[in-house]
Amino acid sequence: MNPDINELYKEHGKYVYNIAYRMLSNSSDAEDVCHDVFMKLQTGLSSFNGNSAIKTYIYRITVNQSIDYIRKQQSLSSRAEKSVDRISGASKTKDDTLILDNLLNLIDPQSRACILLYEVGGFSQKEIARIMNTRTGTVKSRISRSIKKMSEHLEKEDSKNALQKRNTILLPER
Amino acid sequence: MHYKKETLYFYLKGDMAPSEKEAVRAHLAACPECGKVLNELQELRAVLNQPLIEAPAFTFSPAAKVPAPVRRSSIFKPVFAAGLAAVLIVSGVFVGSLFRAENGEKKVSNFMYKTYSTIYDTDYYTNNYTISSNTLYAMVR
Repeated sequence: MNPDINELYKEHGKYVYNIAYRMLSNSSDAEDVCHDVFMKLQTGLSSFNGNSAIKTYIYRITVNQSIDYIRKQQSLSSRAEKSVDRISGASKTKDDTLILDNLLNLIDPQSRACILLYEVGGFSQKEIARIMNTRTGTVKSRISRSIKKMSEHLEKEDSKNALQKRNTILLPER
Repeated sequence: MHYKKETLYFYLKGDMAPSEKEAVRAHLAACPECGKVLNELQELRAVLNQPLIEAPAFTFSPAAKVPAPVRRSSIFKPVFAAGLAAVLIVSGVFVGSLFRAENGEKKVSNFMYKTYSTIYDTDYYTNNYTISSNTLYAMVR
């Protein structure tokens, strides 16, 4: 017997929403993706054999739908503007969210999906390969490239911040 | 020798063969530079693993169950098709025999005349039909 759609949403909804949210840097688009994923799942639920096939299908549609949304959004610059608009006020979480959005915007959508499924979804490289319909080696190299790029960016930001701090100390206020 | 960032990242994730993991651990104990990179990667992972946001509260109505289509035996379709074809051919011949064009004028054929004459008293030339006495008798009875 196939599981109930609402039970599946309880189990996977949070992860689907968070992956879509990190992919798109936008909560309303993430809600749309999340809703679409489970509506699609509902129509084809009877054709699945076993939970692992359902799980793979859920995250495959999540990734594909999110990538479609990114294509529709056209440019990364408009997404960056959006994320800056969304985050106002100063708190550590909001700062971290902004940093994460900027980091994820550095990498291409396919690699972004890989790193999010790996870190947020807790999937293995093999499972990600199945979800994204690619080879495990491709997944590993996408994750490696993303990590390298993001950590280099963080390093640069850190050195920039350190330089700014030093200048503030050295230069007296007029 | 220093380890690559990505190798240290997979070490942090624990996604590595046990022998390689052991080698990295031994190296980290003696290499402060790789230790520094490891700390940076830990910071990066902390940014990536922010607390999850609650998903919107959607409720999905269970999909309406569509009744399974009635399965017919595989022989039914060809037999049905052959029967339908036979009926169409016979009716085509029948209709064709009713209306035969002669010199551009459509006339009622003899066949139709014979068929209808059992029901109607027909004047062949004027096509004036009157219900026959036999039919009337059958209807009253």
